[in-house]
Amino acid sequence: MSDTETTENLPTASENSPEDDFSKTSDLSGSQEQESNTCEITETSMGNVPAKEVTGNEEDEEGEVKMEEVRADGAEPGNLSSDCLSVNPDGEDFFETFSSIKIKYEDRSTKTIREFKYSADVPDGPIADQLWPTLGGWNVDDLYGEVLYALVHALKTKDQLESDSMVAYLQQAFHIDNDKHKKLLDLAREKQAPPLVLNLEVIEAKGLKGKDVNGLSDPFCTLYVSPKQKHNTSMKPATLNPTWREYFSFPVTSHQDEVLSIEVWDYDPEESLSDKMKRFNEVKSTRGLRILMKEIALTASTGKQTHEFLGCLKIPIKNIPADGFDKWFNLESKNGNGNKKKGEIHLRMVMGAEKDKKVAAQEYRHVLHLLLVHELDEENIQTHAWDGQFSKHSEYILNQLRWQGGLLPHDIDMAKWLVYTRVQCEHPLNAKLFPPIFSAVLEHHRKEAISDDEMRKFWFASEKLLDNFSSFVRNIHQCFLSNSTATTQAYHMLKTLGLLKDHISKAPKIKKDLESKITAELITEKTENAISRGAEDLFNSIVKSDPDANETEVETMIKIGQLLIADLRKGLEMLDNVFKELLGIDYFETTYRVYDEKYGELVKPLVMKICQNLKPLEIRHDDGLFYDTDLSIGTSLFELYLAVKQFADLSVNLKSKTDLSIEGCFHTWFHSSVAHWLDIAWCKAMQRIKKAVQLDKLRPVSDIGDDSQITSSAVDTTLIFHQIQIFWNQLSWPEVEGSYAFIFKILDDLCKCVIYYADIMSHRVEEIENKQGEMYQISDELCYAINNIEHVARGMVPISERLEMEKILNQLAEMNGKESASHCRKTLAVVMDNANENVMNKTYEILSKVGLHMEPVIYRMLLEGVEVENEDEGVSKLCKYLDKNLIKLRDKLTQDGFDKVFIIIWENASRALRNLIRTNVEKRRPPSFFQRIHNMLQILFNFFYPDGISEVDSVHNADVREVQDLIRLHGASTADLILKYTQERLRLQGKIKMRNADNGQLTLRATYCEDQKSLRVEILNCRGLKPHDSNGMCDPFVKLQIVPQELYPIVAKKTKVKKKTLFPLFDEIFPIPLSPEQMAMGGILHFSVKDHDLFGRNDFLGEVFLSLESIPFTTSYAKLQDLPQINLPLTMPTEEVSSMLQTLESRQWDQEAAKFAKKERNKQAGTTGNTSS
Amino acid sequence: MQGKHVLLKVVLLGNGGTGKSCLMNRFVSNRFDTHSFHTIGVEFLNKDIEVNGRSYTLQIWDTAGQERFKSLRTPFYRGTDICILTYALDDKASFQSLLNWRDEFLYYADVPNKSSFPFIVIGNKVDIEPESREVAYETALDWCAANGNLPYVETSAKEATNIQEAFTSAVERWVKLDAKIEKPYTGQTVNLSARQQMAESEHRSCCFELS
Repeated sequence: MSDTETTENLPTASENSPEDDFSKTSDLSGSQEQESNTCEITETSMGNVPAKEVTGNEEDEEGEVKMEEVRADGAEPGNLSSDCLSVNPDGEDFFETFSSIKIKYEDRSTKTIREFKYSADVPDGPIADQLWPTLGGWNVDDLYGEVLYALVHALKTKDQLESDSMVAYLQQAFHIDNDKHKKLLDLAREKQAPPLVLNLEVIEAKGLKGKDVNGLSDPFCTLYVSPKQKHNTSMKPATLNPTWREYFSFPVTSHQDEVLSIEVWDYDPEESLSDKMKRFNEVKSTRGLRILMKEIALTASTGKQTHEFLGCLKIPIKNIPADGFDKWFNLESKNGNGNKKKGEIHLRMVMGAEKDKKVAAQEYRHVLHLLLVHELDEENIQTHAWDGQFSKHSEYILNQLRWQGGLLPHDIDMAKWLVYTRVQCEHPLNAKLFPPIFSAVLEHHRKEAISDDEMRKFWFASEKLLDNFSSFVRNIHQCFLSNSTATTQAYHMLKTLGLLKDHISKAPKIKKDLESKITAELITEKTENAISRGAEDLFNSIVKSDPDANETEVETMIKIGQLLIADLRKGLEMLDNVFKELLGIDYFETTYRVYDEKYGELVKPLVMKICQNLKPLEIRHDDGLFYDTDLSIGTSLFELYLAVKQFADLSVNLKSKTDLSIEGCFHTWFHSSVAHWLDIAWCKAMQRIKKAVQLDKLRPVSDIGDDSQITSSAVDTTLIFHQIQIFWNQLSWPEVEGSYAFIFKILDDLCKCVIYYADIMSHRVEEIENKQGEMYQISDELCYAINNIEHVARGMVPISERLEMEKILNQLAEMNGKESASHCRKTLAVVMDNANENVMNKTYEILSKVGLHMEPVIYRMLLEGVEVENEDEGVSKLCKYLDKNLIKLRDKLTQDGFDKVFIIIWENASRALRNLIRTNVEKRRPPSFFQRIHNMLQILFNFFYPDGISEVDSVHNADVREVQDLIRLHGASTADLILKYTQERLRLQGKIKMRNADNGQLTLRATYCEDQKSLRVEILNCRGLKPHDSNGMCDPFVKLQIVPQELYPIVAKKTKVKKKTLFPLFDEIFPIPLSPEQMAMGGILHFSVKDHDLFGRNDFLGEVFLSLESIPFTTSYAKLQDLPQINLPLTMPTEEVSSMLQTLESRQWDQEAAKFAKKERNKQAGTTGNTSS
Repeated sequence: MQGKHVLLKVVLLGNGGTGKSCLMNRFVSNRFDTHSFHTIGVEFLNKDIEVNGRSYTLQIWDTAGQERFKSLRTPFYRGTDICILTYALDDKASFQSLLNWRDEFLYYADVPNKSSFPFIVIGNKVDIEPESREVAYETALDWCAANGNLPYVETSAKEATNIQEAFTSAVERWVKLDAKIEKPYTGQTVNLSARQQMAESEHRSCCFELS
């Protein structure tokens, strides 16, 4: 932050500065002096750019730094292990996220601004050469002589300076060689001392006595050194605190004995008694009345005017120092005893030499100019630094001139104004000098202390100053790019201009009288003009500044934008208000509009061109993910977008946004690049996910908390999502429809990322799992993988919220109507749902694989266990195995994940059981074997579901029910099975509606006579039998039995055969003796209808089942005819019962089973055979 | 055992107002909205379809045809399996734009083999009065023949004519040209219903194989 580079380099060569942009500004300012630069605020240091503190790494190291940075302010909590950074261990091919582009952008911005040099020039040559005043007809030697003379005959001051050093100083300032100096000094010494005068200003008085009837006085002063020459001030009527501000000059002969006398009187005009009497009416108080009476008496008695004495003051001349007094004095009474307070008087007095005022004033101005220049040169005072403080020597010399020339304050102020304004044009002084001098001069002017001629000079100087100040304003931009005190300078300049403008607009006459060009409008116009020109200058200078050799067009454009933004921000922060307050000029708006137009002209065609030529990314699929396209254009274009957007955002400070060329439309230039950026973001995300998974050591990132069950790649991946979201937020796309489509794309991309992650994570873990031996155990890695996937999927949800979807949808609703918005909302929801479903599928897939891995182990253990006589013992090994793995899963997985895998393992266990049954069915194991399996199932079931199955979704237990059914089937005895078969047939028969009875139907009546212990069955008829013989008829009969036959060992009953009919009427009654106990044993009446075949086997036509339990109990007196007829459909064995037949068939050791099964199969075969013929 | 559900990304392209959204809505939810608004960028819906005994899940991406939406729709071309080019029979300009649409698609879609990508052409609004028809059936057929023998279907989203057929022929076109099932990774998705069906079919196959 050195500001030493500023104007240090004042070369000795005294050439004029080269003509360039900035020397032209002095043309503008209309300077009559030598061409020179007015502005050299070229501090190259850039201290106060509000940029993010970046670790200062050079390009190469940025990658790693950014990783950490993003992480640090990312959404992820801080407890990350060093593993997390492993994605990019060597810094090569770092994931350059868009958020890091932002950092890079800011980084670059800081750097750009730091390095930018405004091409303003430092003036050449010593200051003195440029500033040497033109003396307007005066000869330097003459002037020098005059000043020497004044010094030789110096008036004494409090701090008398050594005369020799003073003279030497003067010689230096005037650049006078020694010989000439000696000659002139001698000349000055020879001259007589100048006659002295006492210059006195009577300013004011206070606390005077009221002597008149109205309680006031009409005071005036009488002043004299010798009573011969008395001066009077004007009379100030009716006041006790008069203000005079009048000047007097007294020739002083000797310092020794002369005394200045000042007397204050109450004026009493000569007036007639009658006048006084008239005034009688005005008298207010009794005191006033008394005074009036006295006055009347006085006048009446003497008939002569009498002023009343108010107070006096005597000052010996010798007590007056050369630099004079300016203070309040107590007034005393005439005789000198100051008991009574007489009030105070304010006097200013200085000693001086008698000289022509105009000459003295002019002389003073020239010397002031010379000394100022000398001082600036000698002390090497920076521009804008000199604050009115002369060195002691100069001060002394100036004072001597002032006193000896008898110059008054207005002369001095005017001299300062004229000299300072002139010097300002060549070597800017501290601008804070100007407002007070300006005000002072105007004050003098108001009191008409200044001649018109002087005022003309004043206005002329002011015009120059206006030009100078405008040129400063024009160059003001350098002040922000450098860190100087320029804003303070600007403030004072504007304040001066403000005063000027204010004065002119209040007193427009001045302008007319003095033929000054200055108007309020001119000030505004010049200033505004300077602002726009300045903005153009800066813009051109930025555009012209040498680009880096490697810099692309886009980078240049970014740099320009950043510099403009920095400039605008500074202007807003430091100047805008000042301009508005002091001059009513909108600095920021003027500047902004210049930049807006010019920058827009530059950026728009470039961006449009690039966007037009942007190629979609080409992604090669062979090696995972790969892209061909050079991404740097895309990323630097994004930087440019940020710059342009930042620029556009500054327009909020404008009064109106009309006619802007950037704000409101810049995004349309970039439109097609956004998709490109999103593609890049997606591509990089995918790449980085891949790398993250590769490098994941599958160890938890933390020992405690939520992160203890996930590993580095999950953290990295959510971070990547976060970066995409940050990118979106930075983009803050200003247009609604686009925002919607882009959010859509981002969501879609995120979904792809999640799925991709799940994919490669599961692949990775699968490799590990597949390496396991026969005794499969759940690995930690698998649990982490599952947790990782869930974590990543969950990570998508908050991101989608932070994309501000809701906000966009609401805006859409406002713009395109609610219907359209709800449409879009639905679409986004579909995208999200799709992703969630996919992730669920993935986890399910992995978990299914767990099940598949475990199944053979379970199967083996079941197989071993089933051979052991004691089931508990047999299952215990399996239970231990399951227990161990389930506990691990429960400890490692989330509740949700555990619930899922739990069901899957249960399903696989039950499937293993089913397979066990299947193989053993093939081996035709006895029912006792299956009974053991059944017991094992119970134990297993209780192991999984100690509280019963109801608590779990029964869908997942369809398997279990089947296993149970199978076991029941195979564990049952043959008789049981046959009964079950029959019962099943009865159940199926109940489902058939009569009109669908394709095989025909049977009508019967049945009752049980309790007293006779006899079942009476009447077979009435059959209807709708299927033709079976070649004649289209059949010869049907009915056979009646009760199953199971073990319980009902009765001889089968048969009806007569009815010839050639499909509607046989049997009308036969069969009494069957049965005990009531037998009736309650669950027997079933079995009617089979057959076609009588004389030669071969009787063909089966269908059968009917009737449960004994459904038969009504009656007495022997009841008649069968009174009972209702029962119509039942004929059925065949169908597919639905074939599993039971299969079971029976498998029991080859059991003749009865085989026989039954064969019979039933024959019925089926017969059916098919008949229908096909 | 049935094969896996195949997931296909289908993109509908064509000038604004040719009825792409209507086609999609008619196909997916069998609805027709006379006061439909223009699409913003893209929309999408899922629909399961069976073609020649095989199940497919179509992810149908409906795009905005207006030029100003170009940069909003093109990002979504990536990963597309089938592209349906649409025009309206009463709008000759929309027919003449077909080639532009194909080119735009190929430019942005990043497809591996541009010459054999499955396109099909749909002439929508076949319900119009014959006198308002601006593109003759033969003209359209000729165009399709000249541009790679593209299948051509005339539909009416309004009257639900040929909708199912159009999408079926799109899938058939894909089967013909791009029958590989394992696709390069483009983030393709298998939806839940597909999974459930898979699981169900597995169950069935296991339960009834007792012998």
